[in-house]
Amino acid sequence: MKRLIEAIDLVKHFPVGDKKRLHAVDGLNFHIEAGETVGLVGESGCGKSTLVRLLTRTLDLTDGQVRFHGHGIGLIPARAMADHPMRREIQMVFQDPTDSLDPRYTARQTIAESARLLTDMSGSALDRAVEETATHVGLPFELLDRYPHQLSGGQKARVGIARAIVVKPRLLVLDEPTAALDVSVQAVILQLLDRLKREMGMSFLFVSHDLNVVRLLCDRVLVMYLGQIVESGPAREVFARPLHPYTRALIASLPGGLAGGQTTDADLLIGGDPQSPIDPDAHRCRLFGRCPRGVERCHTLAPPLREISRGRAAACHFVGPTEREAFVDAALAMHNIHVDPARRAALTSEFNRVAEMARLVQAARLPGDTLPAPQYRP
Amino acid sequence: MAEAVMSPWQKRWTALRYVVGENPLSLAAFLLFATFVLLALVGPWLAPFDALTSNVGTPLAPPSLKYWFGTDALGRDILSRVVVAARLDLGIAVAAVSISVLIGGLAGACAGFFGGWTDRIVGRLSDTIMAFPLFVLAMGIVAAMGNTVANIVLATAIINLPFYIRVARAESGVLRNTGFVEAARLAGNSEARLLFYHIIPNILPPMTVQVSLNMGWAILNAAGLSFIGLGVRPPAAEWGIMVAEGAQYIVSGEWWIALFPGAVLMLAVFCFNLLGDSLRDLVDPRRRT
Amino acid sequence: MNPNPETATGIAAAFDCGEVSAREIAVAALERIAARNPELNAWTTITTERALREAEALDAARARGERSGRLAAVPYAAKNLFDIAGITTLAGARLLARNAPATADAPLVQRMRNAGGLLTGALNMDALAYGFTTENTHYGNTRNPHDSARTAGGSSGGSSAAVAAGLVPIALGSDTNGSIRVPASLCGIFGLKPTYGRLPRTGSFPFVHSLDHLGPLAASADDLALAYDVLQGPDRGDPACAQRNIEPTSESLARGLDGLRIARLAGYFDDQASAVARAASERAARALGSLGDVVLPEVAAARAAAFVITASEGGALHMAALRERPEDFEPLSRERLLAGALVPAQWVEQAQRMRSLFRRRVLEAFREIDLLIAPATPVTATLLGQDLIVINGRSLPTRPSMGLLTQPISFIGLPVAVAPTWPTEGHLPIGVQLIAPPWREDICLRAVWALQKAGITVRPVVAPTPTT
Repeated sequence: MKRLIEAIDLVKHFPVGDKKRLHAVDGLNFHIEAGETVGLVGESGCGKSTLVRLLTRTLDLTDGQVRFHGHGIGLIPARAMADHPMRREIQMVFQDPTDSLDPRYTARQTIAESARLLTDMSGSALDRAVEETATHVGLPFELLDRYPHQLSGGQKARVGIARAIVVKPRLLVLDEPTAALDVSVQAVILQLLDRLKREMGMSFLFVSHDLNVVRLLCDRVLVMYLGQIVESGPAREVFARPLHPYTRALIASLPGGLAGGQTTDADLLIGGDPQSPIDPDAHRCRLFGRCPRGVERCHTLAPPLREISRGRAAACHFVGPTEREAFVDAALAMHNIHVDPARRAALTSEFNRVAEMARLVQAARLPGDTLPAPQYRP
Repeated sequence: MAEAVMSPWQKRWTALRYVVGENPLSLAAFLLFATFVLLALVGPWLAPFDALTSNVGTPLAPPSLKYWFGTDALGRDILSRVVVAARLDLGIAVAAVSISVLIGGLAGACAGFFGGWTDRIVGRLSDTIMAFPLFVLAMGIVAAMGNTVANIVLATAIINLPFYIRVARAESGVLRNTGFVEAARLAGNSEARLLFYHIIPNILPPMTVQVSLNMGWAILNAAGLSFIGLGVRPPAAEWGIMVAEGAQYIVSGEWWIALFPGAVLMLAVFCFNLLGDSLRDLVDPRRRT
Repeated sequence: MNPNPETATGIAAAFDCGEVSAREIAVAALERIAARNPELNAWTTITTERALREAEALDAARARGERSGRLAAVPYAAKNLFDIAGITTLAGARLLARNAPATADAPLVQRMRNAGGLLTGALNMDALAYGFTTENTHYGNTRNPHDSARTAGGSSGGSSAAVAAGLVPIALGSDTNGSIRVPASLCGIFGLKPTYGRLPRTGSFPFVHSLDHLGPLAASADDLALAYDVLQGPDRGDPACAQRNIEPTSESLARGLDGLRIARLAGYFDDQASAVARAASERAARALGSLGDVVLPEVAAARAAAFVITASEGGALHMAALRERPEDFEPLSRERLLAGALVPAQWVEQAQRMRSLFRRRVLEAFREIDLLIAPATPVTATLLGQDLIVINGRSLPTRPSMGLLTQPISFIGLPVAVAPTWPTEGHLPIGVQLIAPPWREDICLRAVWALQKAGITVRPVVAPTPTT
């Protein structure tokens, strides 16, 4: 079955000054299947926005291919994309709902515009489509004839989503859709997205820096650093058992921690400036200098993204199963229990959660507790 | 809470009433503007005497009940001439500013939005025009091409181009990078559609302020050219030329010949300047509640 | 004598003085249940014949002049982990569906019957009691009667929905880490988790032997106390059941707060509660004359220890089935059970130690205080299928987090009653826990009764309509 969208050796370089080039996206390979929700995480400056614009074809590629349902779309110039029949298949919800709405267009006009230009709907069929979509995203009809400055942040976010889904795209890219909203509205919009995902069967590419949200909404996750993908795999697994040091550092640095995770302070990035994306050294790992694990090999040979186990890949010289994974494998064998691979990740994740709880118990100190603290590390 | 559904016209009328009602000054400006437009349209029929005929009354007669503004050296009724001149002056201004807005606005928008060679060419053009003191350039154009009303319009239009080009170019350049332009591309807008349906509608508010100020300036320009003899030719009735004709009589005490046309000219310019603000409020939806 | 005819006490009184027959009551209740259950999905089995038979027997007995029991003609229902004669005990799990039907009622069900109760059926729950939302893949979700897009809480979701919808005044449930208190909170009714070891668990399907409790849910404080009194009494079938005499509470409710020293739990119980939950506990504290706040140490670790014990014992119980029939398990809890079954013994030992240390520390607090107050759930009822909740700016997974505030208390077996409150914003209720020292259920029941008297527990007459 053909993949919905595939990026093959995708490259985007921006010229800087006369001779230098900024490697915003540097040889990316990934895919999204039909009906999948893929999360893309990474700090700001890692190239997420550039990647998103390459996929939605609003930016031209420097090299590589993008294939949508098997058709190459990477060579279509960004300027010509608006008139291409593929335009309606890939849509995007922007980060800042205020900035992405034309202040002179009412909500209805904004939503109708996509439908009018990209489909052959018109007249009352068009009006109906606009109203159906508004209902779908929970936007009351009275608000449709308002201008953006008359709408709240959450309402504008809904308009942004409605405008993207009214043409029923097969792939919806969401670029930090809740970053510009305040906390109470975020939860509402995330629930809306969760519902849309379940009801519309669209594939989603969800770009976010909030790992908790990505973990709960996405089937697979891609972790990006300085223009490259450093880890990929099913979301539950990647968060339950993060392989790449950068992913581990992202999780370790969350203030509340990630429930069920198994990273510690030893995983945090060591001080040091990130390498520059301008003409980077091709012979070393991009994380070298900030990685707590870095050794000689890391700065003489750049680790490629390789498959570690089925469906999981990471770009690091040092990845392997952890002690906990080994323990669970051994325990299952001893009890003579077979768990099929599709459920193995969930099992690890649950086991990690109990292990984290056991760690909390071990760390507690109550009066009257005369026994010494155990030395092992659950 | 049920809101009555208003047609677009009802909404505009409500907005107009709101804007006008809010500020007594803008109300005054609107009334004045309406008066001028009325004069321009039906003035010639309202005028008590024929504006061009000489000797309808005693020459150089001071203002009286019969001749409210007095008569000039050729015995023509000044009131009638002032009224009739409104049509010419306003007409020239409207025509010139319209041409400027259309061409300058479009050129500036293309320059700001597309960048590259378009920007360079339009920029050079604008710089060339701005290299000359503008009134001198207007004089030069009219002198070279002849004193016709059409040439006055053309000259005025040309010297006003840089203002519109600059505003349009600056605003378009900013808008080019906003999120909604990118979003509109995703919605299927080609570059041309973006320019006409998203960029240009959004640069209208700042441009409309320019328009009204410009109108005042254009009237003054046309009057100025006529004053120095490079504009409208006698016996046409035009405020500038009337001031010129009346200037020589001020010293000898016939003050009314220059004063009345001058005062009306001033009032017209003043009115358009005030109108600028109100017009911007009307066009920009963000300024309304 | 004019008790509210909708309450158990009202019904029993009406029957006793001959105003209405048990059969009429039974028929009316069964009709209401048949009408509303398809939407709520609270009942998994409706025992129509039995209810009518019991009603007829009551009417005959009254005709003979025999004295009626305290719950005469009161319709009730039981969570489907209770044995009911002639029905297979499901415990919400398809795994158990092929077992033989129970041969006898569980002792608690027998006591309800002996007091004159009419059994209307068995109620839905989270599979094997491992959940806080009664989202059951095989037997369907139970909906909250106040908002059908939302959960009724769990694992005794069927019990709370049945009572909150006004279909029965009393239901039986179980509580291991919060399974009575969470649904009572989300559905806006009263619930009681008695002291660990008070009510015998004979004839009910277990979950975690060290932590399981059984108890009643009801629509009023009086009914709650009455049901509890009827259920009391030792039984040798449950080794963990203390052989204590019956200590009736209904008569002493009107003593109210009478010199009780009351305090509100802060610290962990504020951190893990949303603004709505905190406001509810503060409101209850003010109404009851709280003396101040109390902060207990290491509550998060206590909750963690309860989590470890639950995982380990819960998982161990089902080891064989996990090996042989994993496909019959509820997908939402299967891997949790398996992971728990693999937990090393050391972790469980430490958790058990934590339990006695924490218990000792909390009992010290009870030297100065007679009653503690805390919210019952961190948030109000969530939407069915909702994966995330936000508490004080943190995103947390919904299902395990619903029990954050109940788990540390049941961990040490203290008696807890839940009273509903109705926040001024929104249309959803949230409960508060009233926690007493061991064996002092009378104190918690007096406190919920006092809250009811103060009007805090009553739903406002004009409830704001839900907005999108």
